[in-house]
Amino acid sequence: MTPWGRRNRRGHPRTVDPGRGGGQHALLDFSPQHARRPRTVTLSTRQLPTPLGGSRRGAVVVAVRVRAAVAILVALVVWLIAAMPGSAQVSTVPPPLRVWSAVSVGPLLERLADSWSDGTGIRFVTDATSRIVPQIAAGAPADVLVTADRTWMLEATDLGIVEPGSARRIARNRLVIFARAGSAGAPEPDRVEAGTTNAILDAAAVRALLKGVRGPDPILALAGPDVPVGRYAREALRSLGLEGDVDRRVVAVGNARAVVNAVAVGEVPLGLGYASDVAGDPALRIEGYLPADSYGPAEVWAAIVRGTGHTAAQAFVDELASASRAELIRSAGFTVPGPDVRLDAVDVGGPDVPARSPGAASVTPRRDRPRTDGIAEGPALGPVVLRSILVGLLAVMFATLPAVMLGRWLARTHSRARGPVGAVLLLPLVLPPVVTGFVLLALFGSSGLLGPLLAQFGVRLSFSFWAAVLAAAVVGFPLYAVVVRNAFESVDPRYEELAWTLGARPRSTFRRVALPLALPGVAAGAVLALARGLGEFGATIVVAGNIEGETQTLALAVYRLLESPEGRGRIWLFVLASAVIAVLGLALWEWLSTRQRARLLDGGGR
Amino acid sequence: MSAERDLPPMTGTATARIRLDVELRLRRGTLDLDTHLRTSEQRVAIVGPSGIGKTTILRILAGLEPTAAGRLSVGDVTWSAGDVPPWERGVGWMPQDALLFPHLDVLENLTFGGADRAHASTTAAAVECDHLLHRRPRNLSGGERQRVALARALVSAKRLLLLDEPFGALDDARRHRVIGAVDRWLADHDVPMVLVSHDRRDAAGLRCERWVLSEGGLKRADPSVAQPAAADEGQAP
Repeated sequence: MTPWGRRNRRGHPRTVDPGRGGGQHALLDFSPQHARRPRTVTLSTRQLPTPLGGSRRGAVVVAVRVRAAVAILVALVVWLIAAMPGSAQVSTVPPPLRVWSAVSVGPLLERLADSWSDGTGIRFVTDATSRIVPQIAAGAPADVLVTADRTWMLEATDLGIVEPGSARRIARNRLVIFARAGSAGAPEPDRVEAGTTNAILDAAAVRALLKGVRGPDPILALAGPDVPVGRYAREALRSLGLEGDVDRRVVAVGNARAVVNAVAVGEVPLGLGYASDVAGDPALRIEGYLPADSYGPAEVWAAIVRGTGHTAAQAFVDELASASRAELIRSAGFTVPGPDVRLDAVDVGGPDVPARSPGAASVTPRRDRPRTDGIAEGPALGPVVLRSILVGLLAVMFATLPAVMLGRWLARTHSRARGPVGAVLLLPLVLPPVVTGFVLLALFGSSGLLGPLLAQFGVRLSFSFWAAVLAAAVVGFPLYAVVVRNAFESVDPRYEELAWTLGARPRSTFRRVALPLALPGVAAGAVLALARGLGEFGATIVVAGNIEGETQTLALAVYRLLESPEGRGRIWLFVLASAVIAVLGLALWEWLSTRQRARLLDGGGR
Repeated sequence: MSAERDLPPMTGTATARIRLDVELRLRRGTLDLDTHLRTSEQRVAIVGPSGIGKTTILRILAGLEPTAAGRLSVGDVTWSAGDVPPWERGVGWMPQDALLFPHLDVLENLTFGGADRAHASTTAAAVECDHLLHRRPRNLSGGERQRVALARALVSAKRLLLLDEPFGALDDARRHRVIGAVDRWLADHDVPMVLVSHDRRDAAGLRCERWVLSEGGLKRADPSVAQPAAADEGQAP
């Protein structure tokens, strides 16, 4: 095409002798490559005539490598989806009954479920009643709701989330004050053998217990005021006239199990919680029961969630309320309430059943509750780790395109919107993840801004596996975009200008110059976002819930184990897995960042 | 890659027609350029103290300063200074620091704009870098990079060749040979060149018309000072 070039090649192929040039080069230029490879010239001239040889070889190699990495990633995701039991697959087995229950009732329900004749599997989600009711109201996929008190069940009825008239009272709980087994107890002469006491504590006895604790605050763990057990505890303290004694010396924790744990691990000397949680826990010692008339009826209620359509829901609720279950309920540390009562039949005010004396409880809870009954194993490590990685990878995949586009725009634009957009971008990074989760729920919840729209297409996002992906993507996105922005900013814009002068339009320049140069930085951003997604907790638990076998990732599993009686031993396994994944991720990130720097040091200057 | 196809073929003989007619204004920071350059010569060298805006003039000609005002005629094509984007100009721009794409090897750098491999390698051979074709820029010395960048500019210069200190990293012997190669290239191509160099030997070796850029603007240097006056083109030295 250039006459000059052709003439030289045709007419005077040795006018500019590559061999001579190279030879002189080797003499003049002492670059090590030349010293080592004086015959480069011969090699390259030999390659010239080949029509399709090595010209684009380097680019091809890079492209092949990138494509291979993407392919491996996609294959990994597909494999994870396939390996995940029932996460995203369509299963032919009837769907399990999803029972959302107060955490204090969890162990009882699991024991009931264990002997349930129906073939349907049951999946439990347990947390404080005050949290599961709003979650179901926000569209969480539940079939049966079990609350730890009547007030919340009434609230659920008012919210219209349970089938009217389906609520049944299934058990009654009692409040106990307990300490860590082996700790120095209160100087109570009549205290019975550890863990087997039936003593009812009056105001003076509680005072003596509190006084008996040495050391400064705090001395008493109880649940927050919205959680049933927390409300009952406060009621009891108030009616015993003990408010002033405890006042600021209480620790409010998240739910009934957390009260138990705070004492079991020795954080707080005394706890005020449910007898059912304490009974049978060898780490704990019951100091005594609070008078049954000092707090509202701590009743366990079960109801069918409205619109569930699950055929086994009614049977399960009936089973819970059936008299044949009384023995089992008692053995789990509960008492059995009077005749079966329906919610609409009772008045909410005072106690409807004569307060049972705890002494009348026919079973001593602790001995009757074997620890190794094979139920309530808690989450299994393998699926949880796989699910975590899958959630993280999918989140990164969804975040990649927006992060690259936004990061690139922020790196190059002169627009006045750059400042505000950059600030909004960083928002999820500085907002508490719980707030991010709340915003997501407000957007995608079934009664949220976009939730109804999605529902029209048959998509329910909140409290699903994809909600966990969404949460991880949104929380990881700022990190991703910031790292991508830095990567693009570190690419000298004159490379792109040069590409323009060579005839490449901006889009092609982006693909052929800017993106390849920023690629290691983009990959580093992806790894960082992945790591953040794997560790995501706050937003996930709000928008996706802690649903075992569906949305439960590593962080959520650890949280669940933290509050379950079985968890204390196994939790380290999960913690170790988290640590290993985190360390691997950070090592990969470090390696990729180094590559980004190396790539830009490559050439250009001088 | 598309530039080549889009451009009308450059034809014409070495007559006394106006080759370059440039009127530029750019005000940016401390820089205040207001220049006028009109010449029938193919080869123009711009000299002047550093920081005066010589490189910026090349960037405006390449279309990289969209805020510049004025107009620019190259041969029979006229653009307003900031309008036509750089990818439609068909310039061969060699910036002062070579700016080879670090993720591509030398041959890929040369063929980036769509040139075929044979053309790229002959051009590379002319400026003595054809033995480097499959090396990465990071493995090149400063002089090698400079030669590759020069070859890339030559390969892609369809309408205008812009060289910014193109020979600074070359030793004397090689500088002499490479200048000779550029001289032959210019003789074979009807493409005007604007050279920015602080070394008089470059302008002299390429037989350029010298223009001096100062605060007062761009002025044609006294031809008697410029050493060999513009000789007839098309003839190898």
